[in-house]
Amino acid sequence: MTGSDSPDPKDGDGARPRARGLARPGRQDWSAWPEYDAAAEGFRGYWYPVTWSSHVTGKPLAVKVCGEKIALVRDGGRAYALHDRCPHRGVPLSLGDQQFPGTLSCPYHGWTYRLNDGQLCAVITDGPESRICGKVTVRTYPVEERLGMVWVFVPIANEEPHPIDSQLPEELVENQFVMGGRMQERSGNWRFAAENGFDEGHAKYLHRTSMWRMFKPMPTWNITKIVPGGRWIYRVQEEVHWDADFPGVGRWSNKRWWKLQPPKETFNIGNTGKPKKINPVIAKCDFPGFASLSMPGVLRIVYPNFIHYEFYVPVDADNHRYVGVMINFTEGWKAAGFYVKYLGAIRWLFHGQFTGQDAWMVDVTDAPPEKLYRPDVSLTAWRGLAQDEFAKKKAAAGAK
Amino acid sequence: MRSKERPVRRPLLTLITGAALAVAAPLLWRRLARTVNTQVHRIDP
Repeated sequence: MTGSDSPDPKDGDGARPRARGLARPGRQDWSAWPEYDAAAEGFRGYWYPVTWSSHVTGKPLAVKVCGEKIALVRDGGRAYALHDRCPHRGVPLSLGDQQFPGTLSCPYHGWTYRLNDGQLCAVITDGPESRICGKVTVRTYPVEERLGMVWVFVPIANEEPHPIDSQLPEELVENQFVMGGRMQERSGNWRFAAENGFDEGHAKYLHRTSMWRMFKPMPTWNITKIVPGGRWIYRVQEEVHWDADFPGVGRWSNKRWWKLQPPKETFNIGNTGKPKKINPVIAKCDFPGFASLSMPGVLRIVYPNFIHYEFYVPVDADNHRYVGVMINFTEGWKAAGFYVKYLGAIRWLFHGQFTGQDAWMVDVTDAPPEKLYRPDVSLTAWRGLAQDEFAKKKAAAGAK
Repeated sequence: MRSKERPVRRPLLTLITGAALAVAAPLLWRRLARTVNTQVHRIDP
């Protein structure tokens, strides 16, 4: 045991925590990443998936992202997003309905807003000559639809959004694929979810009991390095150890007689050994490591024949939206096979019980203060990436 | 022993049951998909 167990992350003088190598080893707080530390409600200036496209209809739907309450409504085939608060008396516009094409009316007094620019264009209870028309506006948000989902851009200031395709995983922009996905609102801060997703140490221990891994062992420990590549950081496995002797306590392994034998070589696509055959689209991507993470919290886990993504969408400081997506770059009759596999098994085993273990941990994580260990280089690399990228983005948006 | 008599036909009942199933099955499927918040899609950019 090293260092103090004091929960106080600050030193006695109340200023910055002590440097590494002094009396209190390990990081105690997140002051090294101030933008990340301040992003409890998420990073603005990004596109976030908020719901399935088919859930957005002419009947308004309330969603929350980055602490902002948003009303989604579809009109003329297009999805629109408005701030979910009527400026008149603060009633949620999502409780209203469409009384005129291209508008949304508040349920209370019929204040009616244009969907494309949020301007008050009619007040039903004040007659056609209402003087307040044109003088009140509700905020609107840019909306796009990708992967069968509605994405909303939450700006930092009033900047124009960047193209959504520049934020999506590159391989999802031009290739044809089939996908199965699940969305779930989960408790816990979005940063804990993102850190958990990229966390080097947790999967092999926490998920060793999951049904998804019932017949496949998990390693005991790895030597991993973090490699940057474009806007992503990759976890690259240099050594994989399937069992180990722990001095004074004994031997530990996740190998069992009913599980497949672990591979002898180190591998970086999938986590079950060197594959015989890799999907050509995945092979072409030439990912350096099987787990990668990018802003604003997009995890990519690459297997030989499919890719699993997780989008950690900030709802507010205490909740996030888990969006799990499994992609298969295939077409024709094989697509039908994927649907059956996804709806019959993957949804329940992987996007269900397996990630449910993650949801459990994210819910109960309580940091900082914290004491990090060697595998947590995955966490600090992610925080560094988030800090640097958002600082640049904020400067570009002209925000302080 | 198998009866040689033809079974009693209830065409109206069959029609109503079939129509009810035809309406209810997609609705139930959509309700289930919404409850588990799960979807599958073919994406063709």
